[in-house]
Amino acid sequence: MPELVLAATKDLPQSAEEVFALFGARSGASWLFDVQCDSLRPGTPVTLTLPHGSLGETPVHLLGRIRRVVPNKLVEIVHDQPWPGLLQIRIRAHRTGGSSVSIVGHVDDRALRWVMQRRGWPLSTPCTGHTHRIGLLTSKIGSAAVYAIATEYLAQLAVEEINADGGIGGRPIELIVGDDGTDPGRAALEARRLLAAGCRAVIASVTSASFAAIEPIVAGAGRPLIHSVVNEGGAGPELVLRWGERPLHQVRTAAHAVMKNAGGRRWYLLGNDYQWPHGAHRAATRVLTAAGCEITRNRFVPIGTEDFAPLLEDIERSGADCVLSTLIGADEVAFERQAWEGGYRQRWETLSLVLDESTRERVGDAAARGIWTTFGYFEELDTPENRDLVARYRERYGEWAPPLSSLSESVYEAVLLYAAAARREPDPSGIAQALRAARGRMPRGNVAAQGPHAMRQDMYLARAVDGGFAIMTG
Amino acid sequence: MIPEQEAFDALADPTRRAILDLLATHDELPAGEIADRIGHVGRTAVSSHLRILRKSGLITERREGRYRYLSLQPDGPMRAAAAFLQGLLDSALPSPLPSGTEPVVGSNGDATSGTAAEDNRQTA
Repeated sequence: MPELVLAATKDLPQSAEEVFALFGARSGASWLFDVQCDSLRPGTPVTLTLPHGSLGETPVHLLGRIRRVVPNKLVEIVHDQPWPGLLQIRIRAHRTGGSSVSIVGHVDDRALRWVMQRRGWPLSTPCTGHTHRIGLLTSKIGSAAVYAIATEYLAQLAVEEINADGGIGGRPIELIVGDDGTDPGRAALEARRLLAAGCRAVIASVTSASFAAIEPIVAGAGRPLIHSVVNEGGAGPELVLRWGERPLHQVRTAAHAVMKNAGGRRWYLLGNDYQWPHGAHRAATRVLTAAGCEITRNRFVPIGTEDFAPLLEDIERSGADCVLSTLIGADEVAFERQAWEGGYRQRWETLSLVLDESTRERVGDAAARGIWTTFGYFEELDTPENRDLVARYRERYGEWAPPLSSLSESVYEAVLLYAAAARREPDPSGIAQALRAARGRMPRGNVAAQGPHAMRQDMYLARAVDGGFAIMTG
Repeated sequence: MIPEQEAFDALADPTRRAILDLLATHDELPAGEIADRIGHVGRTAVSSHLRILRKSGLITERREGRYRYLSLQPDGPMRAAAAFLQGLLDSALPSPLPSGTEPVVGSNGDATSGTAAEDNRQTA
């Protein structure tokens, strides 16, 4: 894809040192200089908030990390969400005092397409018939964008591997990517666009609120639909497959260890207000009450909640020993950071059902330390298949690419399992039948579909440590 | 008005978006047929929407006899998006502080004190 290089320069009366000090100071200097990051060390995750309203009502955050810093001279940021690119900020001292700042931005076609689509341009992708198209629906802005950063990269990696191995029926797979912006209404529009582009199947790595919005559209069009990420399950039409980890399994895996460390059995359940957290809290209540626990509160807050102070006080008042969090992405980051900043981390044990690698690093090492989570996959998993996958991913996308996690890696596996089924079966219902019996040795271990609504897999209990997770059982 | 703003404003209207959606699924349509398919507004209104879309570089027109055929201008929105990103980069430059204001000491204090060796490391 051709690269587009943009540049902007300005002379300033301040010294180079003074201008460098503005970076990350959050003094209102500009959206770029008001970067959110815990330090300026290479590898530190950063969040850049674009000016409000410039791309619609949903706030747009560039999610990336620091790549290089030369104090008083240079900062480089690589970003992946909502579009991939590189920002280089150079500061030059003038001999006469003062300085000049230049910012160079490198982007490609993906940035232009995302911006136009956000502004309402109908992106059409005329069908050539030479490729086997599959759709990926993911979230590039909104709360879910935080855990979806690596999703498109892993889907693309799986597609490249299948194409290197001959594609499907002699045709290469072509991935068409849709962005729901963590919004079910937008998910429905994007699902229609993917179908209009001729996608033979859709892999949805979105919230179950978005999934509910697209299920009748994709299944109604006679195309297989795979929900690859953590979900609450539930029956659906024949073409719908829900493979992610189930909350019942997650809570069973973790509850005992969490309570043992807490030294108590009173639980506070806190989540975002949509299908999956409600389903997860019902499942958790079943597991926990059967184990003789007390549920002190069951609270839900809207997606996009930023201030958790009243909830943190309420948790403390409730006398809970353990907190189950089903907050997602940016909401989970805000909650855990505020819990740590408020000195609450030691007051209770936290089990978070979607604290994946990407969310953990954005909570930050210090604030996340000790939080429990449970998934069928972690980047640290020591299987030969996973060591290979991590090596290929790093070789393809570089050392500063976002971490892998169950939420993104499950999309890689879904593409492989779909391709295996589509190579054997010519039509959508045959493919869906084959997918109901899909099995394989994957980076997460052995997986086996059990009918349309579950994927058997091993579950791992882990605890956040500096730089990643310590896997406790598995 | 700057061109990218014109293109974005053109996109903000639901009728104009409906016209673009229509053109996205058909390579080319005569003006009359667009007016027929966009049933909820009159011909004169559709005609003025088409003019705005053409002026902002989002669609192109081909004349054949007394008929006008319209199609999407694929480069138009890409240019507008590139101009938008340029505007974003311009607004990323720090605004000068009022004179006499001391710059705030930021959270990057640790980077300026002692990690220079690490920070100077060249990366890919």
